Amino acid sequence: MIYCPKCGTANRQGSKFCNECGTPLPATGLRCPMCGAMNPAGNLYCDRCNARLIPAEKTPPEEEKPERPSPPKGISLPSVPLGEEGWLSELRAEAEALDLLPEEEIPEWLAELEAPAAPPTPEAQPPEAAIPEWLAELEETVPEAPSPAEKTAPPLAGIPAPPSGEVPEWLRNIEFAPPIQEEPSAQPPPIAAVDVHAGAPPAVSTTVPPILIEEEDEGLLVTAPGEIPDWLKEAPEEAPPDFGGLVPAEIPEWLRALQPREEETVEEEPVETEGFLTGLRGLLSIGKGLDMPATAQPSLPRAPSPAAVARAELLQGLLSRPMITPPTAEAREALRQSGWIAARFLVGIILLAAILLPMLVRLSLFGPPTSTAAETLFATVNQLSENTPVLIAWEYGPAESDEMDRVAGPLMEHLLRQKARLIIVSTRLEGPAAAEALLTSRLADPSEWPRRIANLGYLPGQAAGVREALGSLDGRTEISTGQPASQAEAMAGVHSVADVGMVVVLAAQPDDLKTWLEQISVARPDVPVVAGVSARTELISTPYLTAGQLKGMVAGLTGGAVYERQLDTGRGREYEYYLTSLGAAQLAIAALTIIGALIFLVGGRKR
Amino acid sequence: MTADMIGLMVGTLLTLLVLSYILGDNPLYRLALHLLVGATVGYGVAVTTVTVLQTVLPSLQSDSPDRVRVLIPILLGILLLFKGFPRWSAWGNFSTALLVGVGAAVAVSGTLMGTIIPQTAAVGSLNDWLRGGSAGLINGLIGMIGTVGALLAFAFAAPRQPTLQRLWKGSVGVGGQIGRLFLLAAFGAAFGLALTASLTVLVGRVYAVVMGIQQIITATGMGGG
Repeated sequence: MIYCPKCGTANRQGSKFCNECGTPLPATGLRCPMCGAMNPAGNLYCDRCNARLIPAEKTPPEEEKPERPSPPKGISLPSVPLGEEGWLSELRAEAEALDLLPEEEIPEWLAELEAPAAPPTPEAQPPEAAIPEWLAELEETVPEAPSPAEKTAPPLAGIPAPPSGEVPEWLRNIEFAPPIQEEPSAQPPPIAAVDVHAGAPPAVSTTVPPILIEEEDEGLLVTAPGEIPDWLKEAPEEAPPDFGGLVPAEIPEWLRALQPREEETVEEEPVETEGFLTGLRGLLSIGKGLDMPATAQPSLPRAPSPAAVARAELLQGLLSRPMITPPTAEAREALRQSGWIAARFLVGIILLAAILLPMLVRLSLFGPPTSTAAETLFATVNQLSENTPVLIAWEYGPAESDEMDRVAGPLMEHLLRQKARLIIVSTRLEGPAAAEALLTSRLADPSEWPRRIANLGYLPGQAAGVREALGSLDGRTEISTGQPASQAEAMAGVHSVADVGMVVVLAAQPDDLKTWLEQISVARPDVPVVAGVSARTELISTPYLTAGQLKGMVAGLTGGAVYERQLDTGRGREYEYYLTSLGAAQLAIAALTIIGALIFLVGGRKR
Repeated sequence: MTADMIGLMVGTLLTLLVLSYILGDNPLYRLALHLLVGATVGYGVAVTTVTVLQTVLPSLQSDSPDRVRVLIPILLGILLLFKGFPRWSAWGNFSTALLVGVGAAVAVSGTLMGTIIPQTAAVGSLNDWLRGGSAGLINGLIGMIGTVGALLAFAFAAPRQPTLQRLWKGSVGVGGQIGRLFLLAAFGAAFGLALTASLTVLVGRVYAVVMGIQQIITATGMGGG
């Protein structure tokens, strides 16, 4: 478990953020900067690659090194490299030599030291006269008022000084505190300020800084013979807090970084201010602590590349561009230089000349058109008896009337000549008006309109509207008179599509033809259907004609010209002009296409 | 000056404005375009009002049984208006569902009964082939090959077993290639017919302009005659 340094909540192992408050949790391990493996926090070297996890402390140059010895370290952290110091080597050698001493050579005081010493009692305290001579001399040399800094080291108490004659060679330079004159009501004697991690007594050598011994009441410090070292004089004046006699160890920098952070030092994660994550904190890790990346990551470019800037400007331009973009001066110049405007103007002039030439000069470039489907349709309409109701789906508007009027005109006139009753419907808004405009021009006697024509107007709903209208034609309104269709004279006896003798679909678009054919096939497949379609729709209507679903068809200007020739309404000259102009325009386009292809082949892509 | 003459002059002028696009996008062309769009929308609103609303709404005032029959569509139509407001758009869901469902059902049934079944039957009808003589037979065969080939051209999967895969490539693959040729021919024909329709409209416009100018000159006496 990882405890949050801010709120104390227990989090799962491996969590990076507190589940309660979102505060980043301290990393529980050290990532090796070389191989990326995670190591326990106490590791100095990587378990996998043996790389050093904690950077070594920078050692000052020789001339800058203080001459004072380093203060005693508290714990066995590798803050002091082992084996480098000469005094420590000597110490270890002497310790080994001491271990090799025979049992009988061990002094008595040392044997007592090794045994668990009983707590000192007032009775056990040695008398004042028992103070060795060297210690008495030492007391005289101690200054009266020790500096506060000298109190930093707890006294070495409870260890009786050995007799001077029994002190071995290596121990002679070590001074011990005299037995403490303990009052009965006094606190327990302080624990000796021995480096507990230094190990056995042999760890102390002559080069070890002198151990300070403090008398509790008077603050008397007993130091080793000689001067107080400089490092002790420069020690901070503030006394460290008392940890029950233990000396606070010096915590390395890397270990200090693992300490729980103070509340005021915890940086607040940024809060999302927009989007559906508004209010959440700490969504983006800022990568703190020791959780270093396994490999070095390339830094982001500080400035966007020119290509990125160009793309951004293009997108911004697309978003902010108005619907109609006026060409810039540069664009106009580029167009002028490319010759595109001239080429387009030339093509337009050629097309207009090809269309106008047959009007100015009567040309006969093509033979008479032929269309079997139109002739079949003409024969079918010829068979209609008088007053036969014919349902006409008028599926084109003014935009297609230049072509479709030449298709529907002769067919409508033929139906009117046969004295059929025309029932007009349309799924297009402009269809009824286009029907009225054409029929007005084709109906010889306008007074016959009510008896011959019933314009039922617009059918909303596309296919569903068509299906509905096929079932109830008399339920609609005749738009010319505003009366119900059932009361219209042309609608006499007509209730649905089953009552009509023929259905004519005039479609400029393929979908309109399909819609009507399909819905009629569902509603009344036995009703004959014929069509007048544009050239664009001819391709899709031909299969229906082949399959017999269409009983006849007038397709495009050619079909209209054939029907006009069959009917002979006196508009043959107009059709001839149309066909000649159309053929000339097609030839012009073919010639331009060939010329353009040749220019492309000869001049290459750049032309 | 009659209304027909005014209409003829306005129509001729607007046609010339549209044809000015041959010189590139220009304000005159844009003016004609905006007039066309505006007139189309306005005319559509007028037709809908006259054809639909003025036909249906009076039925609510009558005492006939049609009143209830008309009331439900009007209610559904009102609910559909809520689709314009995101907060209340859910109110229009039933109307939308009804429109989509009915439209799809009608379209599917029509396509099945009016196109798929009759066209499939027509392609495979040997009697129809023979009825047209040798030309009908050749036409029927070409139609059959083209139809099957076009269908095979859209077969994008193949069996994994090597033997079946070879058979598949030998039959479906070849048939698909033939079908693609038919598709290319069909697309070319469609493009040519679309171009023909557009040229026909252009011929009609040029003819209308020439005839309009001629009639205007004749009517106003500018021709000197």
